[in-house]
Amino acid sequence: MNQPIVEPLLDGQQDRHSRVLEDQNYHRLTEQICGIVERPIPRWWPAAFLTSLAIASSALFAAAYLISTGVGVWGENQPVGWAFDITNFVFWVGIGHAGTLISAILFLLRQKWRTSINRFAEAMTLFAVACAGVYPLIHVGRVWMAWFLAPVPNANAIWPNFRSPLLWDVFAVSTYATVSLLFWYVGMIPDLASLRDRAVTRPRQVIYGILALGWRGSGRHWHHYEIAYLLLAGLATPLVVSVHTIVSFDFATSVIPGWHTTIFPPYFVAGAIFSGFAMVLTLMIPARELFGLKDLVTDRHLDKMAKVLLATSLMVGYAYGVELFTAWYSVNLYERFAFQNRLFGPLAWGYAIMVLCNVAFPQLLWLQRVRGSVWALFVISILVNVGMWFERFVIIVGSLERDYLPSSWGRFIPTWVDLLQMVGVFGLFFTLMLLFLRFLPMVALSEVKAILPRQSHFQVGHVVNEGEQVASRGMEVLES
Amino acid sequence: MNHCPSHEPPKVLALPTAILAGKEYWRSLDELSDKPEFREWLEREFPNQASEWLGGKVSRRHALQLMAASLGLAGLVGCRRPDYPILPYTKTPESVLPGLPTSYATTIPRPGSAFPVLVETQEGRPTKIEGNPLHPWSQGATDLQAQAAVLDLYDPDRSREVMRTGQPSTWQAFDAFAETHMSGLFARRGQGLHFLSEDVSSPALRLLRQHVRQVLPEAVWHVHEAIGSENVEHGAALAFGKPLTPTYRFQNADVIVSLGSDFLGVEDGAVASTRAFAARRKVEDSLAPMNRLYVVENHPTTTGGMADHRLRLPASQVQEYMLALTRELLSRTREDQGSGNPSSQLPNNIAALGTPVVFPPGWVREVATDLIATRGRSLILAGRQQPPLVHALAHLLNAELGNLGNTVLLRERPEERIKSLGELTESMRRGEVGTLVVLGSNPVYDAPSDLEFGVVLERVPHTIQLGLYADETSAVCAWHLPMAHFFECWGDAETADGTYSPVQPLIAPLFGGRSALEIVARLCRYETTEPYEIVQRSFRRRTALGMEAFRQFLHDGVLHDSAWPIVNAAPDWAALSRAVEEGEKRTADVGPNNLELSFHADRRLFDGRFANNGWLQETPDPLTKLTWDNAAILSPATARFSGVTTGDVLELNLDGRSLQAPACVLPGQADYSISLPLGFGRTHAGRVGKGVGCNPYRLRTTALLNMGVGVQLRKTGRTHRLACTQDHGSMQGRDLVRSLTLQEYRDLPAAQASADSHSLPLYTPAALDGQHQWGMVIDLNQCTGCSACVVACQSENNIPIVGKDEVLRGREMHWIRVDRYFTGSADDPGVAHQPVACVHCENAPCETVCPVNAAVHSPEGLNLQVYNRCIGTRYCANNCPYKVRHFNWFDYNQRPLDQLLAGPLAEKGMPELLQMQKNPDVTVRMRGVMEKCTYCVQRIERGKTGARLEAAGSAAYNIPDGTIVPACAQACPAQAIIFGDLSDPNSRVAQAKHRTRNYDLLGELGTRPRTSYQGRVRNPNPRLAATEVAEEADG
Repeated sequence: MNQPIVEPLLDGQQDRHSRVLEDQNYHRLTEQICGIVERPIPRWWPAAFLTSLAIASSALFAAAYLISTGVGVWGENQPVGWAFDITNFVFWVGIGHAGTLISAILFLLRQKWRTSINRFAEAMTLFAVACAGVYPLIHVGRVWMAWFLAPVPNANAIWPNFRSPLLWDVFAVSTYATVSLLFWYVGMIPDLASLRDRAVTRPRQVIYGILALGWRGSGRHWHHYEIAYLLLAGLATPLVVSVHTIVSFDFATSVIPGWHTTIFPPYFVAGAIFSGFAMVLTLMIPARELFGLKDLVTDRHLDKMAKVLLATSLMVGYAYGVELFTAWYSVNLYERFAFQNRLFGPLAWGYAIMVLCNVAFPQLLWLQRVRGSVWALFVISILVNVGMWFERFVIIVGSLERDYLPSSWGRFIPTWVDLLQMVGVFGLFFTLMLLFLRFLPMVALSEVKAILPRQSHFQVGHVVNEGEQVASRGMEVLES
Repeated sequence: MNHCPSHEPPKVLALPTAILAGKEYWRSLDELSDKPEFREWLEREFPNQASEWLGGKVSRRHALQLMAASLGLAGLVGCRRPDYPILPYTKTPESVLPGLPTSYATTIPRPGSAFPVLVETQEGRPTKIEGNPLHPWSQGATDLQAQAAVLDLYDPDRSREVMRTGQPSTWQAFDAFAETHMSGLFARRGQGLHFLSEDVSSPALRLLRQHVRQVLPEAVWHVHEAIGSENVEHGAALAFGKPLTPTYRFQNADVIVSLGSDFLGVEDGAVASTRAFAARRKVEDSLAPMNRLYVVENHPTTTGGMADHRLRLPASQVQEYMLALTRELLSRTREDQGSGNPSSQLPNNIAALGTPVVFPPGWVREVATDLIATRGRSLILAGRQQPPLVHALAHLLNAELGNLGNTVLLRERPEERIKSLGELTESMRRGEVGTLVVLGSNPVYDAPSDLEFGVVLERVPHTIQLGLYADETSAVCAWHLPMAHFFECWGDAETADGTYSPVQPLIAPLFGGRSALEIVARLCRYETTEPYEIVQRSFRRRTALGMEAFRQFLHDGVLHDSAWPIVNAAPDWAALSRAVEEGEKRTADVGPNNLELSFHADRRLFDGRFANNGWLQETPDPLTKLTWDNAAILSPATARFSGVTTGDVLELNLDGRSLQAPACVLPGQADYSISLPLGFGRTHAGRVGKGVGCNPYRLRTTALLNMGVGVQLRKTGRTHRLACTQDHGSMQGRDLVRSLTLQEYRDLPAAQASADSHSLPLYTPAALDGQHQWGMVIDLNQCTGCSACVVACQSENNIPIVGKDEVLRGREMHWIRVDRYFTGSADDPGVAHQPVACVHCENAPCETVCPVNAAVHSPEGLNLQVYNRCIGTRYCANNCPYKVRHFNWFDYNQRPLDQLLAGPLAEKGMPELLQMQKNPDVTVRMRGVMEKCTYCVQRIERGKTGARLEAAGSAAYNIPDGTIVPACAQACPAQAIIFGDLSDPNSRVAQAKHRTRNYDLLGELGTRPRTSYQGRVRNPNPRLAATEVAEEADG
């Protein structure tokens, strides 16, 4: 594989030049990104889309079967009341975290390298949250009564139970979904305006015109835009920590050994970022190949993400160790048994997969050679995805299978509906992702332009959107 | 009380307040039909239009009509009302308060015995069965099968039409056939006519049999029961020279030695035995010392689980043990008494017999010592499976120890010349049987296989079978007649001790069936064919009492003090001596190369008659925890030896007969002894029971009726999925069932009680400021694990069955389950049972996590589940440490169990017959909601309403302790469950909570459960325990 030309990493002002490759300029960038949307559909796209759609529709079928027949079509039972549903829910919510982290926290921390991947990661967040949202909704016994979860003032004066972590979940995840959507959409408005301006067909003009919300790129627009974006970034930042913290409360506040653990909030957040970055890598690596974006999403980006992956892997590994230590140190019979069971019980194989994929394999990322190899990164990122799925599975199902009274211990065995639902939701994710890649600018044009080497502005002399100059100035102002 | 004059309809017999308060009032049916003018009025008013009932689908309208009819008319003319089905409530019958149940006393016939019950009816629908508190055999409690009987009544698979050679026919056609056919038989004085009935202990049927003997002297009556009491009878005959019926007074026994007798389980009269036995296990309440139970048996039973000492022996070696014990005991009593004792010849006789079996040290000597020390207060009894000699020796020892008259009562019952099934088969083979009338029995299924009853039956020219179901026997018989369920017809019955009780109809026959009484009366041209008439005549004949007493008899459901007279008898030493000589021809030694096979009654299906009862099929066996199956039970050592694991399908070969059965490895089974529960493997049993399990009758022969050696075991290589509700028998070192010996308990400091709960709740706990604070105590020292509570709860609370596939998935719905744990060694463990239902935590983990407030707390301390608020997140069930919450994974009530996965394509709707069983006070839950024990909140509310009514407006009302009883507590034969108001310091439950052996299950979690447990107290023989410990140390 061709090694893209990477500027050596320099400190200070020089650094900004190295986010993208040297020979980039506004025009080329606009052509490159908008071109993906405007050019005829590549030949692989319809095949990929139809395949994804077919898989996604199997999720629809599985859900329809579930809702029409009863939750019993899944393999859940007494004592395992949650299995694939909540495992996948936590898995998808976790994935989403990388997007928000990249967009919001790295934005606030002035990590400029994020600009090439933030749009993509945000989209991934949003779709992951959508996929996550499928599960809590359909997993309840009476979907048609799910509105009881909403605090609707009613004549019976019955409110939801505000003590229930599940209700906190509802608020946390819906807030998260809302903020993520807004953040993503607001950030995309200037680029949508670019697409509108370049549109040659009437439908495109109308649709992108509506989506661009009348963006003209005026100074006022840019001013408000920057403030709104900053505020949303500020709003989204605590959500990165809070959402998975609250998701972890579902388990941490319960009485079940293996769930009832104070380390869960940081453990879950670290795990979420871990899995999210892995998913960004999994998706980004083929996407940049397919769309020829290697000069925007450079190997240095991958290298940085690999380092984040390594760091979070160590955090997760630390949490695994501390869990075992705490169980031993607690001298609590049930707690000790729960972890003994996790290591040696019927789901020991799941625990082994989890430790191998989440802690052992990512250690390879210490090596520069591995971080530099796209294939190695791709494989490791997939392994981490698998490992993180098993982490949730082992925690949720493994703990429920054997809790306090040995008389009520049981096993969980998934049914074909469980599997179909899971595969189908992956299909949904890829369907949404493919639609995004095809119809929306997958790289934040305006932001990338802002960090292009300044001289190139004038060398080319073609400013697609004059506001972009203001944008780059605005960013300067904000930064200083 | 019913004292109305005969020309008026029956009055309301119980005041509404009293009914409301849950007092156990019930009333009898009365009858007015004698009056010709009344009959005439009926005929005029309601012409014959009952034919719609026969065989059709029961519409809602018909069901209502039927209920009305049964209510209005049940008391008027007798047992069957298909002729006049419509009687709307133009005027509400005075005895009926809509919405309030009425209880009637009746009796469930049992093989050679009966079980007295009260049946709760809701506007004419029998819905729930309770024990009859006035009858000594129930005292208000019930067993599994009695609780489940109401489901049989509404079984949609019951036989609905008269069948002739497999084709639908009518009663008219049968009556016409019978008329002509019987005329011929009458002409031949009944020659060639044979009756085969179950062992029905009914004086009315005896009356008819007497009539048959008079008018058809050549006719022969045979009785067949698959699990009968021949051994008991022959044993008594052997010991005393005459057939006496032993009954036991466990309440008087300090030391009990059971030789394979499951008197707390499947033996007849287990409810009364359990009550009496448990009374002597109440460590605190009882003034008498706690009893001690020794059990010698081959397969784990409920009795064995209660034993203080249990000896595992192959069933065929129990006799050896009995001989050894007899020798030891007699030699020592003889020493004590000196010579001159008539028993002098016997010990020599026995002493000559060498015992090849080596018993664990102390088991003979120490047991004998204990028995001698408690002379007159000890009890030795043998099980139905055991040969007559064991029974006879038990009688001998009881006599020797002076127990006769104290703990053992011998009763003399009227003798009749009744022939056995074997004799019938002989006659059939010889072609002497021209007409065979089978009354309720199913010999094609359950006769010993060497008789080849089904084959021989085909040679009989005329066969008539009366049965509840179109079963295996109906398939061979020319005529099949639908039998009326015992809740649909008049009759009478006696328990095995002779206590007399009535069988009253509670509803008109749903499928137009007739009772055995009516069939016999019609065939043999008795003066009246009205069963009600026959029962009255039988009552007059047996008691020589009048109508007033009859009414009282119906009302009470029992004729007090009507048991057979107690007789004194002395052992017939000479006969016994001869029998011991006979006993020398003992079976070969049981060992790895000579495996034993024993048959026993299934704890749920008994002999197979309950095979189509879904409640019983789904009740986990108390020991194996199997549902929907039987299995060949092996000990771990046998399994290791044969390389078998649970679920392997085995082929058992015995005397050229073979059977394939799945293996179930059960600790506590005697080594090299395989047990097979009977009652499964039905081929014609309706949709529920057909093809469930394997049929051990195929191996059972006249010679090997109960046990045999030399069975060959072969692995087929196939496996069978056994639906077991509990896979883990170990407590994992957890403090779940606490157990102490009597001495340890006595030494326990009082301060140790209730030191468990120490954590503070994070949330403000629910305000527990109700006037009552409900609580429960479950005494593990009383609980035998019989599981009557499980079905009682199912019946009371409309709990659906889910089927084998769902049980395999772990989705059984029982609100109360009985956990079974093994303690001690893996091969020979102790068994502990622990009923677990929702413990109603004051600080309930389920309530905090429910996002929609469907799990909430009542001010009276009930943990409530609001079904119509529940959306089914299942978070509560996950967070319940006791795992007592059950989720409706499918629409179990609305969809056929074999079509659960078909979703919307499956049929929808509950069969109307099953709807009739439902308790109207309890919601039938839909799919997607969570459910669990409510402490029978409907009973609590009914009790409170009644008390408030009684208080007549005054704000303060008082509910006497014991007025409100949940279904589980009411059913419990051992009275192990106490429910009541904790805020009343004098209530039994509040008192019990102060005992030192009271503890909260998982109390350390800070859940503060309202149900607490009382630790088990065992009463081991210290000297035998010492030898057992020493032996274990050696091993």
